[in-house]
Amino acid sequence: MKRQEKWLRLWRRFSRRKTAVFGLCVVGVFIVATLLAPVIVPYGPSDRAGEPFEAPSSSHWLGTNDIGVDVFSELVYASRISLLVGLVAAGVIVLVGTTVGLIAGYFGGYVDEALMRVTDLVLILPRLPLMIVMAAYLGPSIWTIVLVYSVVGWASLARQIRAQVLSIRESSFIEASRALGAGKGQIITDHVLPNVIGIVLANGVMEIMFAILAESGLSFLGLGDPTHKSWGVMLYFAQLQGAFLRGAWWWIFPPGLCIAALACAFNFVGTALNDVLSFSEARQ
Amino acid sequence: MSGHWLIRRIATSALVLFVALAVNFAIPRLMPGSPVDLLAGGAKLSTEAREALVTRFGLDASLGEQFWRYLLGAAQGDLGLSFAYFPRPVRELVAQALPWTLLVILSSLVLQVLIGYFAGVASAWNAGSRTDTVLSTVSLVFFSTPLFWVAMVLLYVFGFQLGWLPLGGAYTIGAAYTSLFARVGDIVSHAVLPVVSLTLAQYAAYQLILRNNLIGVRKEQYVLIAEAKGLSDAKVKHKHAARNALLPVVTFLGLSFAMSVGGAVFVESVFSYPGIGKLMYDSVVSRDYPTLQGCFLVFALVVVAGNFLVDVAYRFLDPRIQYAS
Amino acid sequence: MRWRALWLGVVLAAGCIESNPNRLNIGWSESPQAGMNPFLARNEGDYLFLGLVYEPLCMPMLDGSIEPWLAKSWDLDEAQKQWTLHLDERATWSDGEPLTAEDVKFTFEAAYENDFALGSTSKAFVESIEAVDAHTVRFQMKGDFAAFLPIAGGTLIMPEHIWSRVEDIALEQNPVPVGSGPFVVREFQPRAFLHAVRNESYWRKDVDIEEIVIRVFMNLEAEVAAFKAGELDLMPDLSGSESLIPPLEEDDNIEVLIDRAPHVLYLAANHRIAPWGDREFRQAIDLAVNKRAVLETSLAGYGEMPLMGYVPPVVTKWANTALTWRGAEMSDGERIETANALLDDLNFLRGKDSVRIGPEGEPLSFTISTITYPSYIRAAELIKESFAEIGIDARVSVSDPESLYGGIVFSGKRPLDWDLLVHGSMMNPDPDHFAREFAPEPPNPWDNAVAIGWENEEIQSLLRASRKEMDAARRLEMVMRVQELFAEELPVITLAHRTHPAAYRTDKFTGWTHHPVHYGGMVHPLGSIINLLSVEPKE
Repeated sequence: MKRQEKWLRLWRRFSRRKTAVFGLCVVGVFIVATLLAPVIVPYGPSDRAGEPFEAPSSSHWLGTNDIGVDVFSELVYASRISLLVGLVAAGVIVLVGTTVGLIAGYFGGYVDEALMRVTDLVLILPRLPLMIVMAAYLGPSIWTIVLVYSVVGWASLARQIRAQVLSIRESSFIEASRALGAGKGQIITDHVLPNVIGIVLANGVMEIMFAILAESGLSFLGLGDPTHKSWGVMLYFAQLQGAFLRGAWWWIFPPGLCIAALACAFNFVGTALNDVLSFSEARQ
Repeated sequence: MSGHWLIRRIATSALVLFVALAVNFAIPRLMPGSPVDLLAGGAKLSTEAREALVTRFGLDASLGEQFWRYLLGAAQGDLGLSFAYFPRPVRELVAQALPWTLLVILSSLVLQVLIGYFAGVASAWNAGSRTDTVLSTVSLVFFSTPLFWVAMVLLYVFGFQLGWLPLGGAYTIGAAYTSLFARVGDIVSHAVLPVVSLTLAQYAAYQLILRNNLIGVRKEQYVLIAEAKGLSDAKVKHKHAARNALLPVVTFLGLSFAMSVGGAVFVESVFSYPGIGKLMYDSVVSRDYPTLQGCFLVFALVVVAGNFLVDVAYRFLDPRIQYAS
Repeated sequence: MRWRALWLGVVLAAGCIESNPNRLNIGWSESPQAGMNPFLARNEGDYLFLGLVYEPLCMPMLDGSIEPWLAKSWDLDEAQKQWTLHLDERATWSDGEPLTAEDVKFTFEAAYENDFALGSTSKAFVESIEAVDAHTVRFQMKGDFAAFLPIAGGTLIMPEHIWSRVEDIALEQNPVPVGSGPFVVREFQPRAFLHAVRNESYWRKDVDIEEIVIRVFMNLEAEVAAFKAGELDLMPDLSGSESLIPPLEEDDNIEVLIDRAPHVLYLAANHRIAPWGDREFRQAIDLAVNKRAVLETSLAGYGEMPLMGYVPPVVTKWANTALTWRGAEMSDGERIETANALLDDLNFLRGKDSVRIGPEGEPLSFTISTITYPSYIRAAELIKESFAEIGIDARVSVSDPESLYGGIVFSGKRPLDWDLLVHGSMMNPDPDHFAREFAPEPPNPWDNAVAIGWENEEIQSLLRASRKEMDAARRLEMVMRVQELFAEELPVITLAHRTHPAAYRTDKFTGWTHHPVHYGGMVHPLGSIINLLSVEPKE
């Protein structure tokens, strides 16, 4: 009952922010579009439904690409891949980052020291170049992108979680549980985890944004999977097939705007969550 | 005291470089497929020639020995031979490219700080107002927009459509310059679009940091006193308050290096700018693994060196900080 | 105010850059891999750059004829065991030394010794090379080799007095190239440009072009934009970027040349995997694949329908043009119906989800691999669509060339983890290349037949014999017959033959000629010296 109230309070505070609600709506629109793709789009994502490089018209809302595929249909289907990669990568990062942060923060000592040294190193190595090197060896596939992004992405979350855990580790209620004979695992799941969930949530949302941006970037560099067209892969093909020279702005602008819109939306939501949750934690 | 700190700092930098080297060494050997194919497959010669290359690259030695040789080589600046431009050493390719990348990154960092400063001060002084909202939203939108796409759009508008700026490269090839000024002008005009793209994508962080910092500073006593004294608003802003922004900006500069080298890969690829980023992109396209890895190392070096300089600068600027030894 | 002044200065300064009007600017999409070392030359780009500086013995043309170049004439002795080449006495190196038979002997011997891609094809057939006098060189043959001249004649000749001092030729960067060609290198920046100026004492004729700059663009859009803006005069190869051609055609000062090319796009199967070893199965597949769609979509119409005998139609002398695709005459529905009937007859019956069941009771499901070229990816996707219509399940997998071909070629050391491959290859117009690909001797992992695991005694022995047949008429007959057998056997399934589009500007230079020369295994519709020597500034 009490917990429910707390969440309701948080939601009220969150929903007062215009940008946050706007972001949430945008995310919602994209998710709906992704789920309903076959219903929304007039053609299949690889059907050659028109002539090459047709300008936008009533039959092709966003024109066609170099082989006559309807750009709108391709765009809607591509949102599936972009979102999928973003969500999966963010999920992996949250999982790894939280685990490392909890372990380091709670156990402390040598474990903490070792984990944090590794974290520091991952943080300081240039991210994108490292991802490029790994992806080049692994070959183009969406799982490659998820993997290389996860390898470099977990560190900053782990650091924040650890800091939070350190601050609550010595708090009175944990001391009390310890005195009552609760095991370490139980303390982590019962007391520590609920107290870091806010950070995890806010960061997880931000990580989706970063993962979507990273996916588009790597795909644009030709490291994406050309058979699973995401927005980044669409732009890769557009650049390769001379979309600008053909004046096909309708092939270049929509994927870029979609990435920007979705990334912005996650950013708005993440920022708002961060403010709302850290504020509530600060008051506790 | 300070000597001790410096030694410690140098050791940390060296450790990071060592890790970068180890990562570089490990990646091709951890990947599916034999490292022989990956490291000696570039020169598609006969089987005998392949064997010869395996020996030349030392791929028949034990892993430990290979790593030792690799470290020795790297210490002497030997990054191997490029596949794509075989037998040109990777070192030469990288050395040609590095100055261009530094030009872009450093110019962009200066611009990022300048734009971030003015936008941050404007936001902070008008916190909560329409100006603040607009400035913050604009920077956030740029921050969330893929850099390569911003670069593509700028190239399209200013290069293709308006024809104001060159479409690519770092200078006009084979040009006969009438003066040194002409040469500098040529280089500047080629660098404008890459630098601007990189700046747009990355200035947001500075604005945010400054905004949050200055909102706090503004409330501080001495700014209020300065205002009471009747100093002009602009003077107060720039003389007193913004001075406080120096340290957070310098702190963030270190992080900025890592972000900027990533950004360089995109802008240099879009504008065919002959820096390390473009070299890295080209190596991806041609699967020139030695060059690819050489680029990664150089980027790591740039980041580590940048961080080191920033730390030294920070210490120099802020005498309050006492580094525990 | 100060800023505005500075900006104005920058703009003015940028305007002060002078450029020689008699400078031919060429755009190219990649840096020469060989740098300035011709021994390492492997691809078209290498020959474009190096061909300005170094020259071959003769120029083998696409139509099968051969133009004299450094060698002004040649003869084969009665016993057909000795080729004697007579060098042009006028030829000199750019440092003033005369070009002699010793240089030719040195070049070939160095290539043979190190197995360099350049010139080593003839290695197996040459017993020895002898410099008879300063301008006569004699090749003593080991066995019969019908294609000696077209294959060996395209080798770029290098000066002995420079290269004999080089310690390790395979690692030489050759920063100051000394060649016999019409241009000398002023500056070469890998990945950026080659700047060459004319060789004032070129032996063959006075060169009209003063300077040539080849600029390397990895970004094709920027390259085409620079071309449209007049910064480039020639783009020798637009293949793979066909979608960029229409905007060029709109420009009055630009001519687009769409040349046929000895290129084959094909679907290769791993014959070790059932049922691809079955010839009748391959015939059904050949019929089912929508080759018309491949031509129209993946090649954007810039190509020709395939001949089933592999040798491309542009090689007029050798191609068996009667062997058109059987599916060409049928409607799409009829074609699929026939293919389905063939598969039914072979007892590959449809199972769950109407996917056909293979000989061992497993559904027919394959991976179509290809490399990251857009046109190849599109072709693979079309093949997948065709497969769906005949009850074969497929997925497309894309890899980079290095790991894909590495995986296939070195499969001896690895599990055979590939099923199908969409691949394209540029053929040497002499059918010797065809024979080498499908009947390699000794088996080389890079050659087609070994890579796909295909063997057929009848076809392969005929192919081997054709390499050694010195009688032109009999050789032609054999090559024609081999193609007939090939069209039935289908070791690989031909999909289309690509064209070779190129474009040039007509506002600064004139005299563009079109000689489809072919040397170094590559085609040069416009960019070779034989073409460039006739180009002159417009005044």
